[in-house]
Amino acid sequence: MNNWLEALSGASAADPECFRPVIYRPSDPIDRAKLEDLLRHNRCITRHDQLHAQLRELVKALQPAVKWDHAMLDEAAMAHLNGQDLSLYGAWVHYPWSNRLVHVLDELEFAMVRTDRNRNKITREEQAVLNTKRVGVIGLSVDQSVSLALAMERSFGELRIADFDTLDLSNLNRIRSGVHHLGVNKVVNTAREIAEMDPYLKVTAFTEGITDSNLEAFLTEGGKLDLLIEECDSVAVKIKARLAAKAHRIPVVMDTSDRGLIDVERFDLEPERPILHGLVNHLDLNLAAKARTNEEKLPFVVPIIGLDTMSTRMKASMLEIESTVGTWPQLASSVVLGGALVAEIHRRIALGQFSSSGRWYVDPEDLISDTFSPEARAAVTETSTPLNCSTMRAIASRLQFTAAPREITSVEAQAMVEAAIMAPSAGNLQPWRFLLSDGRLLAFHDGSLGDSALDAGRLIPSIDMGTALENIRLRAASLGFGIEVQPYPIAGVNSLVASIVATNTATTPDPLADCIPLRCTNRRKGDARSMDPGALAELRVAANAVMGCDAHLITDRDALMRMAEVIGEAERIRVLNPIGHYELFEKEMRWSDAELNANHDGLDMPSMELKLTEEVGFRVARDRKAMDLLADWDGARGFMKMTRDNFRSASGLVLVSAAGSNSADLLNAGRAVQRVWLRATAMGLAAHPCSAPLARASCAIWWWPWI
Amino acid sequence: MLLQLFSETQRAFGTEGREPIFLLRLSYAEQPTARSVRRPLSTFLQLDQQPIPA
Repeated sequence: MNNWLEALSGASAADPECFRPVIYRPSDPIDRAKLEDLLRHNRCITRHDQLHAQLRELVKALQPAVKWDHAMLDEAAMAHLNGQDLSLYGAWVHYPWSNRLVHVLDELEFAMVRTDRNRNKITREEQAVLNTKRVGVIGLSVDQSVSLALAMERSFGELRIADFDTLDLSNLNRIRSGVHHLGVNKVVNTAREIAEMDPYLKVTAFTEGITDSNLEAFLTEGGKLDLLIEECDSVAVKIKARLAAKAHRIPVVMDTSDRGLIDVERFDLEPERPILHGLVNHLDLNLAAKARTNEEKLPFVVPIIGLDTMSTRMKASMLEIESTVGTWPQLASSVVLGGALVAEIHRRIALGQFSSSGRWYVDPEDLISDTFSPEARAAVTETSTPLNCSTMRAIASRLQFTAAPREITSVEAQAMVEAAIMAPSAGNLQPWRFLLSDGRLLAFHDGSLGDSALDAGRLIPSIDMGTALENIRLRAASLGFGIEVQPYPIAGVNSLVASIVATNTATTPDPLADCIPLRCTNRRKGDARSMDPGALAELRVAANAVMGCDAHLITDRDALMRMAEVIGEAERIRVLNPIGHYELFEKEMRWSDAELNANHDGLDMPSMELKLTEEVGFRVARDRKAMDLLADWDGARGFMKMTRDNFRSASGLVLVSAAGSNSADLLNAGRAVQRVWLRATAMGLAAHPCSAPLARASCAIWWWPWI
Repeated sequence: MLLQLFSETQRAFGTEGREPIFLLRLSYAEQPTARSVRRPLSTFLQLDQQPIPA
């Protein structure tokens, strides 16, 4: 508080650590003297006396079969006092943090009335059992809801609560409290809420949170816990608390506030059960204690939360963290639901009515939904069929051959195709097919692999095939002969891209051929050093060898970063577009070794060179529905950050251009791309394609309206 | 938006009037962690005399 305001109000701040009410029983002369002293010296105290109403409820609870009328109840309530002065009956409870004095029934009668409406969902006998249970709660952000539900049901004898954190304004979206509690420890806030509801409940507070030095005391001091409820953010505490709970055979329950996810681990019944259902068995749990950064925590967090099973909103929000939102979202509705579920599970565990371990979802969105969903956005599926040998031969039979000057042998064809398939292809889908027919090598393009629905100008197949054709030309030269390429020899048949014949012209090997096996996509970050002054000239020589083609280079740092924004934005648009999303995440990506080994193509995770946080984001982004949300929010700017980071470490950006855009020009341009890439490889440069901004304008008209 | 990005790329390289085909980011970097996998040669090439696979 400002000094001038403090001086004017004369008020001092309430003790921020205080959470225990003071109970005075005026029937006890000592307590009565203390109560009188309190009232004498504390003139600002607010008194609240509704004891008569509580007595009326008590007599009803004691004789539920009686049909009471108003007068009968009043009479019975007064009779219950047995001549005692009403003001001296029961207890007066002083709440120092609010300076309220409240008149209530004493503990037994208070508990009877307060739990009367539990019956017989909870019988009095069951209530008595519950009142012997010790429950520990770690993390009072979500768990305040759990603690309050437990307290309302009066389903514990002692509640131990631990959290080091204090209440912020942004917590009030899910934690029941008032603005006067801002800055107060969350444990204190919860303990006060409980005390105001029921001053007789035993709450033990660990305001320093759970530490190595107090974990054992939290679990066992004053009696071993009957249940541990764990909801904290710290990976280290999650794991340490479970290991300790397991050692003491204390069951653990966790609610994750997303899709009603509940985990139950019955270490009391299954002492050998692996913690967290074995989801972190493959990890070194000692490292969890040292995890500080997101990068270090993620290996533990990801298997615990399960990327595939998160809600769509949570996935989409995760991709916006540190971009348009600060951290992951939590809603009061989810937190309150979690509180209810955990309180219910605790009760059944405590009463011996539930003995399983496992993971469950109580997802309102799944359970309560419209019979007919709103019209879903169209799913993108593959429509074209793979090119097979019969089709290739049928197409080949339509060719009008003149005699080849020199027949290509099968050995030569194998050597040429061996080089061809070392070329790059979009998404590494390797859409090439070759048929050796009558001494000619026919190069086919399998549209089921290499066509993109976003590529109206057929640029991608042209580059995929052009790069392969250049490798064929280079390999033929190394073998000592030249080739002639007839592009698209059958008008209107795009799948037959070229007919290749060998010539008798003597050729000399091109040194670029040596780089064919060395060339690769390398997405690693560089050291940002300046490029050699002669680099552009060398790259241009490589491109200019193909008619009409050229290379252009940007090396200026500012210009590179401007292009990073352009490329990042184009890549963002691609992943938000349903077709672009399908092509990258479903058609090109290989998400597991099994997928990779089954297909031997596509983009595998290691070659993406992603940091763990980026990889997690990438896996989350696979969910089309999450990306649809991000498209609605104009989000997914994390993809731009990745591009920006890559360009900070780059040395240059080279553009290959062509003089025209007919099919032969584009095929030639593909050859030039390969030559430039091979040249860059020879110069010791790592190369990573990033052509998203070059998507042809004709595609854009049927993308999202806002693109 | 895409048209704008296309034009910005053209302007950045001063290649208006030509067909921009392909962009490669160039770096001095270590070898990649993993290289792209490849299908075996036999899946790409069909020779004259080979029977058509079932």
